[in-house]
Amino acid sequence: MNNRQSGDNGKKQRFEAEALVHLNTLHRTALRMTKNEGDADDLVQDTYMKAYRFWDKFEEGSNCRAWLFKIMTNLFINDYRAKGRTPQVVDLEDVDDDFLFGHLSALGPSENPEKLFFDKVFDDDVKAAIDELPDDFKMVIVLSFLEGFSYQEIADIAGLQIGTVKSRLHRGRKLLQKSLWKYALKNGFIKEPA
Amino acid sequence: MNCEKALKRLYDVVDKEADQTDRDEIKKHLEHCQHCMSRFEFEEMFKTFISEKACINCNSDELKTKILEKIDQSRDSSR
Repeated sequence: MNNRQSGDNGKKQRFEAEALVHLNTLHRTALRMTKNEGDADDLVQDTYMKAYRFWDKFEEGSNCRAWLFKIMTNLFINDYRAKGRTPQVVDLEDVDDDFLFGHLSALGPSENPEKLFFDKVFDDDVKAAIDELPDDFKMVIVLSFLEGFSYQEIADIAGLQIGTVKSRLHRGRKLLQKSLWKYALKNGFIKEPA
Repeated sequence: MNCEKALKRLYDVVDKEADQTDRDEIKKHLEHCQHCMSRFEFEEMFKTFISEKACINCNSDELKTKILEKIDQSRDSSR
């Protein structure tokens, strides 16, 4: 084996140990972002190929998972998001900060409506509610709620100001609560008070 | 600390972004304000609920094989 080959093998081994261990969490976020398995597979593969190409730019000891998410988020925004999309209009005028809490509390204390709600809402409805979010909101919600990144990490990953991260999270929460309330009414386990 | 100030920091607390001083002040308020306490608990439950329900465990083995193959191909072609 010549020097070049052994160097390549070392790089591949390090890449496997430090970068590929995060495959599962990237895959799961890719699925939520692209909403279909084919695109999610492609997005994750493109992410890893790009990461491998730029592996010498990765600073050892820094957060590899956040670095990979940054690459994936950029690819998603530039290549995967529906081309020529028009900015999504989000109407939150009638949604208060305590939308869901307020609606559930109004059902009366005897039924413990919060517990009822959390027990009964279907997994699929939660996934659908996330899928329906406009991309900008979905991205910060997924990075925060599912992946546990901090505001600062999300700002770095998505190239946003912290204030924008916070306001998108805030509005994303409201949109999620509004649509989960809609599903709860539709499925009939919560009845809107007359 | 009053309700308005506490609720302003609601999401910072739920998202574990509030510093210790803020957390202590809010905690003191929540100890004697049932309404704010319920709201904080609710938003914490909401976040946990969403993350648990939406967390799919996807099988990425096949994807891993594909990526490793692609890496090998890229090394061969660059030689």
